[in-house]
Amino acid sequence: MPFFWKRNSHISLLALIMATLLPAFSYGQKTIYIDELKEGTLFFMMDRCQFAFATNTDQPVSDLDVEGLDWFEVDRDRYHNFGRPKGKLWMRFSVTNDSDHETELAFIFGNHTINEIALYHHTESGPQHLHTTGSGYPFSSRPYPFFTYVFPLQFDSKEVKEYLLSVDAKGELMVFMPLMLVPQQLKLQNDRSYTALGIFIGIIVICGAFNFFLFLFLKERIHLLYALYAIVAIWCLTSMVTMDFQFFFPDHPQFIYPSRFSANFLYLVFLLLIMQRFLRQTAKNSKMYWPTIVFIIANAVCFLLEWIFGVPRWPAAWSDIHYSVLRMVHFCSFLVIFLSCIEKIRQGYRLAWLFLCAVLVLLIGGVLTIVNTLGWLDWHTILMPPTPLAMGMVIEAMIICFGILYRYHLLKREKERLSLELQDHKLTVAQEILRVEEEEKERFAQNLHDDLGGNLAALKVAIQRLKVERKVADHLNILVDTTSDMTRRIAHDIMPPEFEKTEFNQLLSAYFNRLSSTGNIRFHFIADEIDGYFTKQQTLMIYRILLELSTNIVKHSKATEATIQLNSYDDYIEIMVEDNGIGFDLSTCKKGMGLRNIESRILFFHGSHAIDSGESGTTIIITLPTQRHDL
Amino acid sequence: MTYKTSILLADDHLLFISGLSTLLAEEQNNYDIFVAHDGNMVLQMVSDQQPDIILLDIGMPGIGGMEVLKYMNRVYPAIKIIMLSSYNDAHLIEKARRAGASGYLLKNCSIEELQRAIADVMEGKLSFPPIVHLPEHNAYTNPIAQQFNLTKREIEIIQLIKEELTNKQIADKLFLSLFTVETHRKNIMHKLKLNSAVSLMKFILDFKL
Repeated sequence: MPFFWKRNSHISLLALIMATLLPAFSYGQKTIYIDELKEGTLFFMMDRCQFAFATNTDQPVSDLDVEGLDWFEVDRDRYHNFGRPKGKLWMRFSVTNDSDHETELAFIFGNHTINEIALYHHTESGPQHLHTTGSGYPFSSRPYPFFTYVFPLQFDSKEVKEYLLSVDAKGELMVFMPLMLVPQQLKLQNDRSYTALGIFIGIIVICGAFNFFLFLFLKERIHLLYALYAIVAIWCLTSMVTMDFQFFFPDHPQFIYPSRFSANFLYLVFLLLIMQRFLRQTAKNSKMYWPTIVFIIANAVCFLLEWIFGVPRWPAAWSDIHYSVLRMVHFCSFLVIFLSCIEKIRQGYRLAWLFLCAVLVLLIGGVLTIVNTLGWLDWHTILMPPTPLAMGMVIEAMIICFGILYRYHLLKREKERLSLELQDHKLTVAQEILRVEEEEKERFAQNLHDDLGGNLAALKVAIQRLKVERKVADHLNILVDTTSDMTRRIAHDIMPPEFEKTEFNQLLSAYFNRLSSTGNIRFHFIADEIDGYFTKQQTLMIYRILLELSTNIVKHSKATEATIQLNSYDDYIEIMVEDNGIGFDLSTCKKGMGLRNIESRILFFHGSHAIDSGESGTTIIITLPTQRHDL
Repeated sequence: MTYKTSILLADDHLLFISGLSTLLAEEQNNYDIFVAHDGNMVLQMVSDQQPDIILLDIGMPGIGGMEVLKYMNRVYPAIKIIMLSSYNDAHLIEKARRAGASGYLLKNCSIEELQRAIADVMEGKLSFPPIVHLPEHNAYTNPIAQQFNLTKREIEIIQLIKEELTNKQIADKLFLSLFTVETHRKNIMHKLKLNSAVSLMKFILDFKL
């Protein structure tokens, strides 16, 4: 019953027997039994392998004394950090097919960026080469087309095979997670990874496209920046798992590293740019403005350097410096973002919280990844999408997108408020001007009436005292009479005598009466009671509006009849002035002084007006909102 | 000794009033003339001088002519008052009449008119300028139109509503804009205190408009 010793293989009697049967180089207690794989989805095999650092890297494999290497074991089953080896790392493991049929397995190395990785079948006659691939080889060199290195392994019935793996990762941090799976599992894992990445990219594309259209309509830079940021984020997502290599430049492995590193730098450039606009950071309102600018430039420079010096790889000697700088720039950039957000939050800019949250999500993803690779956590998901970092990136992108929209909404509201305020202010100024003008007119009318009118009356009296010819006296009388008539009319039109103490409708009714009796036009005046709705000044303005309109009718309309109505509704007064005259062309008369005066007065009331002029005369409808003053 | 009519002239315009008093004194020597420059002075002089007649300016500063008139009418109903004004506004004349004035004179009247007014008033007659009385504004034949203050245009529109024309059709027919017709319609409903097209139809039928 194989189940027994599967679990306790190192003390199993059968294992001992098997060990004697197996070739001398096989280390029986460490072998992987194919049956074990069916138990779990992924079989983590780190603790089943042996490792050795090659001292002489240039030695051909055929000359290699495998047993002579300094083999050691690792007691973790998932991640292990081997540091930065100076030369090659050798790895070996054996697999036992204890079933009666042929079987296939997939071995996943568990790190996507290794310079060169070669798999050998370790036979008695020495290592037999099976596959060589790595980041120095085109994608077609992969034995299985997956973004990470997958090696298919075949076994005959009851076969025991030992494999030897040479890993060249000079300059890179050697962290990986070797695992084994059955072919169905590989398929599943494959689908899962690509689907997850597809979904992530889809989300970012939607956010990006949305912002791009917003940019087209609103012409706000932040939306364009976001669209570009989205593109770079997609680049980062794919380069993180070298899928950019797989899909875009499978024959140019020299771009794998520059693409990956530079994408991250560019990502930070855009993240910082967006942050600056999002937080409305300026040199005046923020101490973080210049640090932000510095790191935008630093990231941009690093981006360029990656392409200038990093193709295909940084020289191994520079590797340490490269990684230190890279880490420092990344760390400082995030620090700048963090501090900028904190500063803005302390300034009371609430939206900064949103940006901080977004970046924290990304940071959490990053920290999880680091913690995993350091071996403090055992999450195998950091190898294949959906990895925490990728998820962090997508969630960040979504939060920022939401933030930008929300910010736009807030800005729009504020803008509306400001423009309303401005409008209000303009109106207030206009009203003030009108008010002063009216006061001035009243004073003018008063003076006209009191002083000039009084003098004229005195003149009249004086003339009557003159002992002159009757003819001369008559002439003087007529002159004085017409002059005082004119004076009176002018003063009267500006402000009728006893204006405040007289019922408004009575005043108007007298006025239209007089107009009817002196001209050829019959004025009909129909009015609801409007006293109490308006202040004295407003009433005076309505009076002026009506005077202006009726004067227009008298002067221009050639009408025979006119109807003036004052209709009082619940919350507005409607002035309707109709005549049966010849009408006028709105487009040419619109700017006439009279109408403009009326318009400015209507504006004073926040009112509106409509002019309907045509064959059957002119109808002018004016609506003035009311607030009762006695309420 | 002939009885001298004592006249109090009240006006704030000094040139005018001195001219007027001189003129009156020159024309006829049976006037005793006093002069006041504002309402307060008038009240004071009335109790001192007990004039027969006061020529009272409407637009004086402080206590205005109308207030003085009302007060005099209450306290010294025997004193006749003629209002002086530069305006021949109907509403002013009407106001003066109602407040108990005996006459109303325009400031630019001739001396003859002034003398006649004083004489008339002294005889107990009233002396007001004729007010132009126009026939009623809404002298339409239709009593319903008059009752509800409907204008000619509104009646016209009601007729068309009766013919079941839409607002648009009415507008086209009368060469008016749609908004104007809608406003007319709204005003009709408002004046008739109706709130639906059905009630308007009913009204039209009921009143045989």
